[in-house]
Amino acid sequence: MSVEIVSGEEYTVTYNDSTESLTFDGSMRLRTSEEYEPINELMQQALSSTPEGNLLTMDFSSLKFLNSSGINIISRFVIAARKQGTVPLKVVGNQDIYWQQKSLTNLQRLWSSVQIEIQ
Amino acid sequence: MFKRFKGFFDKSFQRKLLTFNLVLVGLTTLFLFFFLMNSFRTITDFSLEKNKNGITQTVEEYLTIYAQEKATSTWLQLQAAQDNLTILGTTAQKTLDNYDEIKANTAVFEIPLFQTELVEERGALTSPLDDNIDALIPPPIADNPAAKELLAISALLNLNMDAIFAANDSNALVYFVGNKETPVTRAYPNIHLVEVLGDAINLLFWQDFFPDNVAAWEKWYTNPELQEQIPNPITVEAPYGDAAGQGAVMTMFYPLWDHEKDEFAGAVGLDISLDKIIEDVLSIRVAQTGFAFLVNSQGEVIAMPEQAYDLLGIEQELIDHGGLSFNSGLMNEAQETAVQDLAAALQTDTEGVFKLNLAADNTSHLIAFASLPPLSNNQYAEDIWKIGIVVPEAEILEVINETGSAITDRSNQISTISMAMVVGFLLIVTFISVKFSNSVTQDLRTLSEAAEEVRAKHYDIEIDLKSRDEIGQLGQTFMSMTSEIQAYTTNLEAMVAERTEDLQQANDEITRLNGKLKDENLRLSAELDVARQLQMMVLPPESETSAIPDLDIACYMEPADEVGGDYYDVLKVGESVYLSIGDVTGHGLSSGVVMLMAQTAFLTLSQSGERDINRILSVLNQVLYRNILRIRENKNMTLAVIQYDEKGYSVVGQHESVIICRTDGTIEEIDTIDLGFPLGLDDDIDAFIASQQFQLAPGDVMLLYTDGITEAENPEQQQFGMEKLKALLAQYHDLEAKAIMEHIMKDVYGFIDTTPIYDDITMMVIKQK
Repeated sequence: MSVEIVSGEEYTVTYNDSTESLTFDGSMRLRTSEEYEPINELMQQALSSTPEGNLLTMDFSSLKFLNSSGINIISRFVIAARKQGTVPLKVVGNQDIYWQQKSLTNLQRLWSSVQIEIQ
Repeated sequence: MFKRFKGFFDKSFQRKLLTFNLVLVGLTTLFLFFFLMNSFRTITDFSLEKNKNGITQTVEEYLTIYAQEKATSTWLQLQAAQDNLTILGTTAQKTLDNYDEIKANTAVFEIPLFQTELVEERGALTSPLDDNIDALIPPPIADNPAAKELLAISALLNLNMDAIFAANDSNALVYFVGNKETPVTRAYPNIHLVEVLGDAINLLFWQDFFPDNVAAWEKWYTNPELQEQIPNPITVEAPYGDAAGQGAVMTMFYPLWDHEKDEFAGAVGLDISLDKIIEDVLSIRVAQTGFAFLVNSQGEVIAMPEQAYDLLGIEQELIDHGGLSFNSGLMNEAQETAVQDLAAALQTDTEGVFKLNLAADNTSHLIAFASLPPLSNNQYAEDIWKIGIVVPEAEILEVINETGSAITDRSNQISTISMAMVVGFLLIVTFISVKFSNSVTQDLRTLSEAAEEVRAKHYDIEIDLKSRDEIGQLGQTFMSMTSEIQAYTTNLEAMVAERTEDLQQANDEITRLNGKLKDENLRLSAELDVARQLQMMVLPPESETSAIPDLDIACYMEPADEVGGDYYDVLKVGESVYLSIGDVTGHGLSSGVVMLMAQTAFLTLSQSGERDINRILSVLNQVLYRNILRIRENKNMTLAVIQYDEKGYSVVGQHESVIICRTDGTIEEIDTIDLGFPLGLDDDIDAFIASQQFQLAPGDVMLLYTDGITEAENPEQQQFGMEKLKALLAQYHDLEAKAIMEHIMKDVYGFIDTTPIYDDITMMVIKQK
């Protein structure tokens, strides 16, 4: 088992390969897509590490805020996963968090196979 | 004066060091010196005093023992005389006791030894001059036969009279005297009394010479108690100086008794010369002028050197006594009371030491005295002779004083030597201190001088310090500092030039870099300016928005510190009015460019006559998707487009909610989540595009905004939120669009307070006229 972490002042993104899950914590308000690149790389690594057919879970239930640049990165990752088509995604959200109400729905629109689980 | 003194010490470290050192050593030494010398003197004085007392005591003891010894030896002579007299007395008593038997044996007197030949001379009967014995019948009884008979019988005493006389050198005369009625005399040796007596030849012995003696003897004879008290019947007469040249003489009597008649029967007598005793006494010499004396109980001086009479102030007077004349001196009648006191002490005390202070010549004498055993005087009173030894105290103390002065001399000598040693020691200490302080402070002075040189800007100095201690280290540090100062001073110009050049170069570099930086800043600033201007430029001017009929429109846009990607527009194309609001992800020029693309594309599409807003949105998505790919920017955009015409309002595109406040204050929210999809994310979003129709009555207010408002944060990181926005709209919906907008913005900025604004803030308030 290995756990990889990318973290900043207000956030932590953890990839746990044994549970095949990406967990987002805190608030992410990075200014540019370049600043989001380390997170994007972690997500790409998670995607490539997950065996074909296995479900990769993206847990946003503890992510209180994500700005539009962040949403853009997540959206593009879903598109990339859709294009690869071998690893289905499961998105876990929290209905009490405002940004997730519309943005997580958009992820399923990008790829209908994305499972949305709102807690 | 004191100031000068103080200055003297203040200016030199050496002097301070020296003074401190010398004062310390000097005080300690002097204190110890005086303390020790004082102790030494105290000890000396103490021993002298002890010595003096000891010697005085020893001398007193010695003198006392000496006096006792002299008393004993003197007594021996008196004792011998008494013993001689007792033998003669016993013999005479036996003769008298056997008087009648002896008288009856006339044949005894046929023996020449016992024959008494008498011749007449001056009316008396006396032995002839050539006879050994001096017999005498004085003229008044020359015719008395009893006197002749007694004298004849007393011839038996011839047997031992000469032997008794010879037993003692001091014996002057031994003799027998008859009773009161017949005081015949038989004496040995023959001194021819008949002539010696001179005019006294006619006197009767007892009656005239010793009138008190017989009564006293009779008293003793008839009183057994007295006999028991004084077993020795011998009495002595006071000594006298014999005028006939016999010297001092003393007479002792041994009384004789007629035991049948119990009456006085005569006496044997012994005249002893005191010359030997006196000579013995006078021969005593103690110290230089010490002498001895002998006195009897009456204070009569028996023996005393001539000069002592003057010394003690005792007068000698010539005394006539019973036809004898002699010198007599009485100690208790001396002129000085001190001598009288001495006489009293001699009378009362058996022995002792008397200190005699003579006022006449202011001298002190120590007198040790001892008693001889008692004699009896002619009244059976005790006559105790005292022998005294007189020594001037000055002579006794002479030795002590000599010792004392010797010790004092020695002590003074030691003091002087000690003082000299102390002075010498202090001089040596001073010398060493001066040398030492000189050598210790030499380096300090060298340093001080060197420092003076440096102050005078003479840096070219060499100092050689002997010390390897802290001062030596100081010297080395000083030297290195001096050479540094010298180097600085000498090379100052060159160094200044060098430094100036360095600075010049640095300045050039800074200027160059500054210029470069300025260029860069300008470039960045220009880029930002361009982006901002682009953004602002494409926004509809107020003239356009206010020209829209039926609608009261107020718009607000505040880009974040950096240029953001918000966008809004109001277009009137024909009879239709298009209201659009959007938000490009990210910030900066690229976001501005994407926004610009969207604006251009929307404007183009709307102007081209396309009325289907669904279609417009779909084309917009494709245009942006392709352009974003082309410019390789990772962006997308939310966009809502509202078409207003005579049929009402249609809204399409995914963006923030459309908030409507009705005239009665009710808030309605149109969620646009299902009306579209972020533009530029995917190439085909037609499946998600939908439109929704709604109506606004006059007075109704519609509010469009970007997430810059709802996601604005206060310092506590709380978001402004939808609910607050809705409440504000409800509160101010009665006002004109612009006033509503201003109130809301004021509230938003009050909420943000000091928090940095990360995102563009955009808002449109459209009120239906």
